[in-house]
Amino acid sequence: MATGEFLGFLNLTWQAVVMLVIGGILVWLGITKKVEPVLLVPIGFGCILANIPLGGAAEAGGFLAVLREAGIRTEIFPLLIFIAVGAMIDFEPFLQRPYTILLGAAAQFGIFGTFFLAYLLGDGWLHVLDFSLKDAASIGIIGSADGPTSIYVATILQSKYTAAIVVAAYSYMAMVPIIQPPIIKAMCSKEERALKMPSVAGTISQRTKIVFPVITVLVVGLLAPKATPLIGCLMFGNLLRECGVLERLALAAQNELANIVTILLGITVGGMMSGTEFLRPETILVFILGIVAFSLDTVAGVLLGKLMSVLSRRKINPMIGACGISAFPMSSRVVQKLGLEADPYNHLLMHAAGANVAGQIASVVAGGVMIMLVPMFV
Amino acid sequence: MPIPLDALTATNSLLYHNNSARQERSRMLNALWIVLLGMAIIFAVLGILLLIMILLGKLVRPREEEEKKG
Repeated sequence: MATGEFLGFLNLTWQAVVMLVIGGILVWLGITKKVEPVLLVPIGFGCILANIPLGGAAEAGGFLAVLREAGIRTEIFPLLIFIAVGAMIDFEPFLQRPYTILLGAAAQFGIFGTFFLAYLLGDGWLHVLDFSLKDAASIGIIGSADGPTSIYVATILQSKYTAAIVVAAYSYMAMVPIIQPPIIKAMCSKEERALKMPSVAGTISQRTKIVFPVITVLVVGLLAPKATPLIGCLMFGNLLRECGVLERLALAAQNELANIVTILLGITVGGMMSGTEFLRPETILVFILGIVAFSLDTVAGVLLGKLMSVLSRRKINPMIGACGISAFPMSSRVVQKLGLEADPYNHLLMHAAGANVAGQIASVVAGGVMIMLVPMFV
Repeated sequence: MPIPLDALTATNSLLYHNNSARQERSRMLNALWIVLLGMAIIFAVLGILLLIMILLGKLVRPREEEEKKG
């Protein structure tokens, strides 16, 4: 037997070397810079495992390939993550300010704007890159600022760029504090940023909190049925949290389920980053379009925030529109920080959190709408 | 009278380009429809949810307040 058949380093290709370095950088970013460590460390490590020549971890029958088939191709992992996310989210700030759902809706424009741009560059017109309608829709969904939704939509639409899309979605969520402030500052004057919002009197009743997930599933499911699995799992998790009689299950969803699926999802996504699939000019464009998506989300959210501010006679700070993306709680913190910078007594956190959790619902609906519309036009 | 071969090739080429341009326009129009319909559906679904939440707030709250008073 030749040594080349069993010594991995003799089979290293430049693509494998680059991917090993990228995997190392992701692990380093997660551990040293604390950039989304929960995801970047498993993703980075999975990337390293998948690119070791002759290792076979990501090849047919390898454990990463098995996980990919079982968890991602079947869409089980993102749905289980949604149960965990639902069990963790407190929708009270949104229920106190239900109008923030409109900010969530506006902030989904990044998905559709980026989809249009990606398709224009791809098969739609310019043919510069190999982006089909389904690929463009999957790239656009990075703008949902929601990892599980991105995985779910890209998998259902069978995009060639699922790995790049997922890595971009998770990385940019961590980069919200870098992407959003310059855009918000460019769009809102200091006076607007300093605008105080009146606090909301009273709390939300337990009954409302229990009815809310059921009603949301019925409304979204009946009007946009393709979003049912996503919204169903999100709201099921929330019902576990709010019903008051399933504390043990709610805790299991928040901790054990979330942790186990995050580990498996992270390492599986990393395992999808093989050099031959990942290192293409299109991957770089996917990352650039991801920034475009987040920026368009922010712009659209702030624009509607400005309109609502005018209509409400300046009772709404336009900045909270930027929280319509579902990057929770990063974008709420960004708005709180910008509000305090403009006026040390301007606390916007709970208002921003309302828009932020509304964005979570809106991004799921947007994902379902994309899955529903794209096949109609293919 | 037979059609000259050169003229036929030029006509075919023109037809091909026209057809290709039409297809591209149609593809981008489809994409535009997805954008417009997508945003419209999102606003419609979430708008209806908003209305129901407002109604729910009005229906549920007073009853709880009554319970508290009781």
